[in-house]
Amino acid sequence: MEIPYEVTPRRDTGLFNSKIGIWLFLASEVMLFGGLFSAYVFLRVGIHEGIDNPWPERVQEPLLGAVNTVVLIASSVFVVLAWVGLKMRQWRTFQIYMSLVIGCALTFLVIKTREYQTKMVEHHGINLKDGSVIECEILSDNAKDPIEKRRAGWPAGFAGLFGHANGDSTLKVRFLAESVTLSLDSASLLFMDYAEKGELWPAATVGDRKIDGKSQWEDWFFSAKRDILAKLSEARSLRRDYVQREVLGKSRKLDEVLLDKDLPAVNVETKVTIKFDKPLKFNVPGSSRTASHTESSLSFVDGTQLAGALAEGGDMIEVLVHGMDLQRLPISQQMSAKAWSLIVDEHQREAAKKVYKEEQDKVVAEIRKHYPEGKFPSVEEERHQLGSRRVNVLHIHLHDHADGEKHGESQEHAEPKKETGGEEKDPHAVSGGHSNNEFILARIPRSEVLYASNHGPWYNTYYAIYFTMTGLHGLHVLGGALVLGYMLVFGKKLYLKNPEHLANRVEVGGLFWHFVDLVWIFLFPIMYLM
Amino acid sequence: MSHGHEDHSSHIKEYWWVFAALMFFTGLTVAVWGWFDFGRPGFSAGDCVVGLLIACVKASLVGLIFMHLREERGLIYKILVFTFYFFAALMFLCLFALSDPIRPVFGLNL
Repeated sequence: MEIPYEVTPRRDTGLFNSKIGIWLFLASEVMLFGGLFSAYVFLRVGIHEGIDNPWPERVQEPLLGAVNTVVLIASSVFVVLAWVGLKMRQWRTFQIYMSLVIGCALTFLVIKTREYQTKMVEHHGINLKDGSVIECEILSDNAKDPIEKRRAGWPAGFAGLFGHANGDSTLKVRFLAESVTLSLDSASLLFMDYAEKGELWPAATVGDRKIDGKSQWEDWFFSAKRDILAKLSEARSLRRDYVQREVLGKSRKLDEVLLDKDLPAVNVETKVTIKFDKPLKFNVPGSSRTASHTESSLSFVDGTQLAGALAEGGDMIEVLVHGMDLQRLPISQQMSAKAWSLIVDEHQREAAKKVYKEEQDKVVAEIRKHYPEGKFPSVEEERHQLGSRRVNVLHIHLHDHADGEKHGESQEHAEPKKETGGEEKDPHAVSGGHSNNEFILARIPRSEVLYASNHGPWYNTYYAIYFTMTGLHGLHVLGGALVLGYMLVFGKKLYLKNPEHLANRVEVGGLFWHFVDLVWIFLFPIMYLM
Repeated sequence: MSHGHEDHSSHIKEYWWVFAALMFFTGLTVAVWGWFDFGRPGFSAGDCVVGLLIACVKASLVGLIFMHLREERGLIYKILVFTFYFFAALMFLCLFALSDPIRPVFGLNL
């Protein structure tokens, strides 16, 4: 069946069908993105004091956003030139420009992926109870020095997208267990999932039995569980039989029967303690959803309890500091924020404070300009009148490099200077006697932390809307690239049969591509620059 | 829209000029971020207005030249006018919501 008006325009509209179709589709797309832009304005203008206030401003690396803008604009030109190539019946020209479009789309997606990965895996914010925030990268626990620790976290890569990066991150509580007590009627061996990798199913003693290795552990566990359940079942059935006999046979009241001295009790000891031959290390997420801990015990939600002691520093979160975000504190309290005291090395702490103070002085001077009488606003006025305007100026980066880029966004400049000599370094050596441009190590007691997270969509409202909008836009880029790529790879047959038909298809695909570009033109300033 | 081969080749130069203009405006947007600072320190309404105005100019160039809107048929404009009204309504939705906020309740900091 031949579909009419695919190539020639309809007389009444002057347009071929798919062109009306794509414009109607684009109209619906405007509404889709319009809703999200509207949500963005709402979230930003309606920020709530104490929750998302101040709104994080200019926290993205503008260079990457600008490069992506250039890439998308270039691809827009290429797609229109590819269409011109078809109109002029130059297949080769079409091929070249369309390939460039696909190349641009891939470049855009690679940069975007890198940005996402950085936020998920390498950027964390530790919000302390006093309101200060340490912008940092949380270290892993298993390497000899902080720089190696940092690398040790990387292979987790995109596991970070699902919250499982750095299996041995210092964000987790590290606990050395000597024994485990579990209730055989309800517990499982799931606690072993949290044991240090490579140390699973160790040699242990339960009662007078030795177990070692997964199969022995499971053999023991399931046979012991069977025995206990059988004993429980037997005791319960004795009790049930007694109750039935008394209530049904002798017509006694149930309440009365339950108080009988002769009523068989269900006294089966279900708890069993397993002693590890040598202490076993556990890394457990520091949230009460999985387990809670004290200095000498670690309790899982299913009742399994580990006895032992916290590993050395097991309750400390170890981080490489990228920056201090003290915007929630009044200016007068910023220099005495808790965050400063957690930087391990005194020289680095003082140097960092000095850098911060210089930036703070600049801002204060700038703010004073806007109060012509020379009056500096009180803390309340400052909060009320300045609102979020001082956010980013005070959100300085202690870790700026000579190239002027912000921390961590680009892997190359975030790479630490390598020490020569190849000697093994003391774990704390990085904090001693290095200049301010070296990594700044901080150790944060868990009790000081309000919440800690990577910069994923769950971190705050800004990142939620950022990931929603740029993610949806990224999917559009991917979809558009697939459609245009299909025309590039499989279009030759249609070109030989009816070149005008292919040109119309490319024009329609191109209109979608320009729309994707248009959305980015607005996303770039509002997400990266404002 | 129907063009002869010569028409299309004459458009090519125009497309490259538009590309150059878009690059210029992208640079200008970044410059507004980096060099100029309207209003108080950090982000301000001035930055927002200038940034969005430049974005609108860039969007117009893409729409008019790359998407051929300047020489398009009336039907497309009708579709776009409808879209514009609904888009404006969407933007007003948040203004309505903000003009009638949920007030903090005692003991519960909303």
